[in-house]
Amino acid sequence: MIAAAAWVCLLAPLAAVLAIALGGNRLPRRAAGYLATGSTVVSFAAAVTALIATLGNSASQRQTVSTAFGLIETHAFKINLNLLVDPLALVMMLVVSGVGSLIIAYSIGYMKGESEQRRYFAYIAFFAFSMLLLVEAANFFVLLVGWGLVGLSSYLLIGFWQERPSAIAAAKKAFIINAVGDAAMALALFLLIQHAHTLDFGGVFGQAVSLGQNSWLINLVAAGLLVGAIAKSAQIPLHTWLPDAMEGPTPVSALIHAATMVTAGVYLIVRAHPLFEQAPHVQQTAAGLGAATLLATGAIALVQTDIKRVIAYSTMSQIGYMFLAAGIGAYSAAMFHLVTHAFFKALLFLAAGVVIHALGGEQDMRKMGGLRRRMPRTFIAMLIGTGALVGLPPLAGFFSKDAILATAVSNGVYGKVLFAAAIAGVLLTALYSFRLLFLVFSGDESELVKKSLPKRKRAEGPRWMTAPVAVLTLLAIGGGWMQVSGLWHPFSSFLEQVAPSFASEPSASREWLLSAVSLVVALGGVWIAWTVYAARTQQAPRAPRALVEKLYFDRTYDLLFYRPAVAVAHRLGSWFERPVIERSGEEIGFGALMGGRFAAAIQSGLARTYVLLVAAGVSVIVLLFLVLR
Amino acid sequence: MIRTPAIDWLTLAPSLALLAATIASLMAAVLVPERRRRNVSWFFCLAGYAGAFAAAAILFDRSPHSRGVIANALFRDRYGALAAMIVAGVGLLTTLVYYGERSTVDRVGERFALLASAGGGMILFAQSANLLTLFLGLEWLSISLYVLCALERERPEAIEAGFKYLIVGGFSSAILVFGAAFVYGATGTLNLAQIAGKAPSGDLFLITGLAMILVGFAFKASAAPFHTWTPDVYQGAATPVSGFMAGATKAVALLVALRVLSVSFSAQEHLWTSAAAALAVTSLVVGNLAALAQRDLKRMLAYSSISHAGFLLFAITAASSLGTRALLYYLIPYGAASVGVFALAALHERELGEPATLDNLAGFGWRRPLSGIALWIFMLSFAGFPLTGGFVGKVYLFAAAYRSGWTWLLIVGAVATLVSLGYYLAVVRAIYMRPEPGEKAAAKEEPPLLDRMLSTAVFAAVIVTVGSFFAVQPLIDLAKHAASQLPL
Repeated sequence: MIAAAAWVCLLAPLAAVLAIALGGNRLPRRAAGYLATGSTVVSFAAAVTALIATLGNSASQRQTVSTAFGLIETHAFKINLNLLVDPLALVMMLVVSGVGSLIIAYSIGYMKGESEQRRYFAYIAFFAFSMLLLVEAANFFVLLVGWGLVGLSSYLLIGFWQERPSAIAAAKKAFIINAVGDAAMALALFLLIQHAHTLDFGGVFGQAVSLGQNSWLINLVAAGLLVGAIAKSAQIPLHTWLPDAMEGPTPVSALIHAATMVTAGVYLIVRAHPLFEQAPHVQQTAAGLGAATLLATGAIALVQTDIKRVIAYSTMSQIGYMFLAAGIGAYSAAMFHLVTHAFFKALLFLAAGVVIHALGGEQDMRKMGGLRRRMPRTFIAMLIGTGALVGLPPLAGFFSKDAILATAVSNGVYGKVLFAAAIAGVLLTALYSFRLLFLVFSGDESELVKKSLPKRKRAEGPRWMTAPVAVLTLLAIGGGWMQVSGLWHPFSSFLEQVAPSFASEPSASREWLLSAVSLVVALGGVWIAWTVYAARTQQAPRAPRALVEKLYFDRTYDLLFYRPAVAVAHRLGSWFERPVIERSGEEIGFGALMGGRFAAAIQSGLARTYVLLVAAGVSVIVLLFLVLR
Repeated sequence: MIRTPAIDWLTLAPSLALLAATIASLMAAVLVPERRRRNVSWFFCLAGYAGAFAAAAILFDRSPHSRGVIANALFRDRYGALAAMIVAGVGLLTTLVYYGERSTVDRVGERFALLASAGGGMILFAQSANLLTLFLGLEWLSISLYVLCALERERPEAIEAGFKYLIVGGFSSAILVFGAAFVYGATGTLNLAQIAGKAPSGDLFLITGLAMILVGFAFKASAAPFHTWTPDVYQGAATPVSGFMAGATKAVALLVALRVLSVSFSAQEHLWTSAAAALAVTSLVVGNLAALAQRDLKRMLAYSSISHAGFLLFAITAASSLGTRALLYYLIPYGAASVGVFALAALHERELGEPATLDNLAGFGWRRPLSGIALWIFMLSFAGFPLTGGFVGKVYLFAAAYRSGWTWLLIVGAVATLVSLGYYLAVVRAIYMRPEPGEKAAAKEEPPLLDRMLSTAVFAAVIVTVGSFFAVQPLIDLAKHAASQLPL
């Protein structure tokens, strides 16, 4: 039952991909959208079925492994194509298929009129399949396959508008930076094969302790996995691809670059927590990188002018919180924030998509303004999404973010440092997100708005777009209530079997106290944003150059890697390739052809030549054997 | 009263099925009215191969231990059964391709009878447990093939091919049987399992016999320098028959060679591994270089099959269980791709009415998109690209050679693979990237020939070629079971 549901959940989007690809022009454009949406709805239904069936089992028996067939078998190790359904996988399956189906339904409206809709829906359904493969994998090999495939579909979708050079460049950048992570991860897996002789989660985690606490081996393995995780989740220092990835269509940004794929790094750390716990320094590094990312990207978000890029930096910042939580061992807190973040961040992107759609593709916030009256529903949706992001009660982010803050402060000196970063991040979040809200929706209507939305008409897009936004708004309001500190905690007790918290738990009273503190900080940020961008009583300070330059990361990489590599390639080209390789290629080719003519010349066509050759061959072999015997 | 040995019918069943098919097809050639003759003969041949395949599969399942049966004339084991399955599979596909072959109708019954008969001989050859049955099987398959080549006698090339094949083939059969006589003289037994240890390992006659037997196998496997017949015969014979020879004859020749060498001549391993290495290198050099110079597709494929004999000989050079596994595995995608590619050549010939060349293939991929993709896949499999079984097979063969310490052979193999891209990709370039010649544009107006049988065979060949990449493990497990029954 559970196994069957898992396979249905995985394969439904793949079936849609095949149907769209094979159908080709025979399939109406709209049908491609319906197929992709329908298949993810089927996946979601299957995931819910699996959840219900799993909840029927007792807490210690909630892991189901289903093996299709053996992929590779050597004398040293064996890899099967197998799926794992356990609470952690179920949470991810529900998020991927649930939020995924909403966003794909939204894109039916968003992509209307696009001439290559079939390609778009085939890619995005392929993404859903890849992501489900990633989260349902029962061993690191299958996980790596899914990991690579989500990278591929992300690449394809960022570069969906192939006629835009910037989109192509962004797609390449995302792919290359992710390849760094994939390679590091693959190396870690090779080490596991060599020393643990298995890649099955159960087998590897069972041996985690025997591989040696803090040994070089476990540190290397954990570090390799961590590099993979930070590349996929766009954490410092491998974060530079995500803002550029906003070149893709907005639903893609919502699904892949906010709700699901970029959180795969968090999933990986939580999934592989037995390994990370044996490598405490690596795990603390993860938390530290998360804290650094949430501060740095939160600050950069303050000076961005592109609406989608602000949300993209906010995504990195929020994933920083998740890394922080996973790094101190508060796994269920990290996963809880992952889920609520998927709700409100998808909401923000989709609402931003409605705005962009209405304004004919314009993404520059400086040209927007006063949309509150023209798009009231979108404004409310955006307001709720922003409130949830900042962590205002009773919205989703309030519960999940505060759980992370409270756990951080309860975990030693390092935890206190992390807490300081996190609380500073709350202020930054409030500033940049309400800056976005006020710039876009408050004030007077700008020239662009007047031009794009003539007459006093409301323009909030087709129902395919507004309905998913409405559903996500409800989730952003209510999603946090599934876990309230001190009152009920079904979410963390569900995950307890898979990822028992490693961090010391804060007391409920302390958690409420910290909630109050962070609420005050957040409201302070909102107030500052209000004075500067809405009431305009204060002049906005000039943006520091370092922030506009995105803290010089792109420049540094350009100087450190791109330019030397190009210079070396040019030198090799002129010194080695052209004189040596090209010339010798010609000569080898010529020699081979001559040799070929000679070999063909033996072929006289006369049977007597052939017989003579056989006789000569026999004589040589007989003589050689007699000499060598 | 003569005491007859106990007959193990299951062991005999695959070759008996084909023998029955031969007789039934021949009868049909006489008894069935002419307009239905093709269908009836064809059906018997197809049923014979299907039956042989099923019988071989059952035999595989029920022979967990190797033993000699019928007075030690045949081996009942999984090694022989898997070889029989490969032969029957290749034969099944060939029968489908052969159905639509154009020729004068009056020899259609004989055609299928001979095809079934050749398969029966191959299976007996693959199962043989003494030098006499071995020779019997060899002649059974060879004579069927000689006639099959010369059958289209209105084409002078066919007569020439059959005649050359007969003369050179007869000569090398004589060498093999002469070698067998030497071995018998040295050891006093024909039984493969008893030859080992009967004579001192350096015995003059035994060694001479070994060398001559080896040459007989090398001839059938078309390894250089015993390959000279191959281009002429492949070019002259009916195209489906060439595919059958490339996919099945080579397979059994190498499999039986490996069995005889490992079972009977384990004491002389240092000799025959070196000889196999030398043959492999010669085949790779000659096959690859000559293939580069060809414009005729079938001739090019003939040289490609010579170079493949070189790669496959790596398994004999390795003389290990891994090598045996690699050989058994590789023959599966290789056989499928061979039949498939010759089927497409046949399709092209039938459409054009002239031999397929790299020049007249121009535009093939655009005119027939699915066939073009299939041809592309077969070429990639021959060249050893991933997503085809050819890749995995080559990896296994190279790994086997490496494990046994033949590092320099690997280097030769890698260079040969590189060179082989020159002609395999030339086909892909020809079908997609060459402008169609102007006068052919008229032919384009006609709807392309549709041959359901041929399309089915090509489709099945593509499935096997690609499927063997994804289902490596089950196939390797099969090969492992079979390989474990050789004393390596």
